[in-house]
Amino acid sequence: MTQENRCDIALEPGQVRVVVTGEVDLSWSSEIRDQILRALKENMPVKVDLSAVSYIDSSGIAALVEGLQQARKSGIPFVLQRPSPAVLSVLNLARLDQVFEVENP
Amino acid sequence: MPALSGLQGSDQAQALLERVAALSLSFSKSLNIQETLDHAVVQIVDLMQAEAASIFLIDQHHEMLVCRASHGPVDVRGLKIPMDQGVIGRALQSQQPQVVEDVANDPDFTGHVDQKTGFTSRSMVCSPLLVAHGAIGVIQVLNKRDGGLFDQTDALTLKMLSVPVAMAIHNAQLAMELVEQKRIQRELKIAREMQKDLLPRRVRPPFPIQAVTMPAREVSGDFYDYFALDNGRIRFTIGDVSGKGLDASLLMMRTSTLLRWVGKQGLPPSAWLSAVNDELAGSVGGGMFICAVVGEYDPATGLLRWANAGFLPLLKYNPVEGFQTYPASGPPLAVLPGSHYDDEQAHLDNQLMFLFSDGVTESRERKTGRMLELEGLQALIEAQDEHDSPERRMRKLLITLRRRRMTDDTTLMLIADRCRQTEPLVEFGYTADAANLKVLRNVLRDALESIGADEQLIGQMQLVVNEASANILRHAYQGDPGGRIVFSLLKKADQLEFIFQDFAPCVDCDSIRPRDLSECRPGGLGINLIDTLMDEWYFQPLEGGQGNLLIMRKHYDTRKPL
Repeated sequence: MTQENRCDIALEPGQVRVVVTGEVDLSWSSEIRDQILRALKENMPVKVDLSAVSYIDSSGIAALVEGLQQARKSGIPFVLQRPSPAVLSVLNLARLDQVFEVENP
Repeated sequence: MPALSGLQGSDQAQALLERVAALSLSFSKSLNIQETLDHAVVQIVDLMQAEAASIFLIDQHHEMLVCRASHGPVDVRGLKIPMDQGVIGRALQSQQPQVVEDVANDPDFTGHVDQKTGFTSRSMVCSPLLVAHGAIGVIQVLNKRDGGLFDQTDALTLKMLSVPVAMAIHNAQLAMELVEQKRIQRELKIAREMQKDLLPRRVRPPFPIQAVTMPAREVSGDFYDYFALDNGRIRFTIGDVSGKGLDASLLMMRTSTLLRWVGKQGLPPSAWLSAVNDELAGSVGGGMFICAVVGEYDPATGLLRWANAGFLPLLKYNPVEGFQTYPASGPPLAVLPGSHYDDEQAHLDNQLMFLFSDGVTESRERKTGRMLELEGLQALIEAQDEHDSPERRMRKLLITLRRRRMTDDTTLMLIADRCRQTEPLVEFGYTADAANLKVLRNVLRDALESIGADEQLIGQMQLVVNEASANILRHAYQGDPGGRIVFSLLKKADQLEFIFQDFAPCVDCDSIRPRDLSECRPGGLGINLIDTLMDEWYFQPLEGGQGNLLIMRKHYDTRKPL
């Protein structure tokens, strides 16, 4: 089951949600980076929904790390929502699981 | 009556010549030197109608004349006189017969013999025994039986008699030398056989070790050995004793036996060498030493471990990765007690490990005299058909070596485990376009599913090949989407091997390192993921400045389901 690669921004009351779906790799991870940085400009807490990410590589992780660093600089909360097992395992491998705030409603 | 009085035309002269001819004939039939000499003095005394005759020969050290045969009232055999003294010495030095009609009137007459024996010399004739390379001794004849004095005619007679005697002695000496040579050859042959018996028997494939030694002379200073331990591991030794004579061959036998004995105790290779070195050091003289490698191969894991005491570097080869050399880690054996050696190791999967004595690298081309050297050996190995079996490779190498001029003992060992050869699962060529990463991941998934890998392993390996490939895109091709990449996945007995080849300019290997994970920053994570997930990986620029190889290995027992 292959999902279309998408990265959408949803303005919600009091927060911005970035919803990523599909397989994140070098071919389009720069698009995710741009969307996350754009979301941060709204000056509201940013939540990145990773529940529909079936694969993520280090370039995708790099986009998340850059988002986190930018959010901290601006004093904006930055949360990863419902990361899929694929995402979690890479975060674990890179020892970044303790760095991000993760939300699993 | 005098022997040759009225020599011209007389019946007695005829008789004398006949007796000389008979004497010559009898000498020519005997190769026993003592028999010849004893026979000669009796005949000479009789022919010359003398009281006594003796034959003195130069001794083996060329210092003294020693009486080897004597006939007369006193036995003077064994008597030694200086080579330049007395009438006998004069005959030897001048190479001319000497007549002393009355010893009382000759200043050279020393009277040595008379003093020692009580014999009274009155008249004497001496003749040198001459062969092609000079005088080998002297015949001395004493006192005419009728009380008369020797004259020039007697000197001539003795000169004539000395010719067949000298030839007979010379022939007998040559025969003795020949017999001695044959004896030495026979004993060398026995030594050679004993050395051969020390070598292990050839074991049929798929046994991983084969070796051949070719001595430069009858006996060898080179050796090799292999034997199995109870745990299924195979131990081996190869070595080269300094020098190549009998002394080297004896030390070779001692060392080879000692190495086998200590090797069976199961010590690690470094301790194995140290133990043998301590045993040999101090008890081997003459500046002799032994260069050797000892090691162990484990067919279950493909791991080869060894330690090298001053022997030539081990040479590892595979057609994809090329050559790698492993030089000695310690001094030769028997030089100093307490020498230290290091254990080294390499995986033998799909690799050939060559061990060779300097007889191989120092073999010379017959026409030009050019030495093979390590480079030449590498060229020979590289030129071989990569599909040839290890046995066939070895055979071909030996044929080439035998055509060369070999001046030293020559030993060649090849360790190659055909049971651990690889099976290609994937070979996938693509361009350095990020859009192809997903295709690559899917190709890998199919391959790993085909060998029953589980989801976790598939996911991890997808990440690894993705990161490896992304790095090639970014760093080797620097974003040029047209660059070509070839990915291969090989299945081995207990591991998967992932190989990426690109054709970009060579990348600086030192720049490729995993980063410190404690710092939180984007980028540079790829190598880290590879390092975490793979058991082994390395990067290798190809020769000529164009192209890179990335080789990664993951333990995976394909013989048992996970």
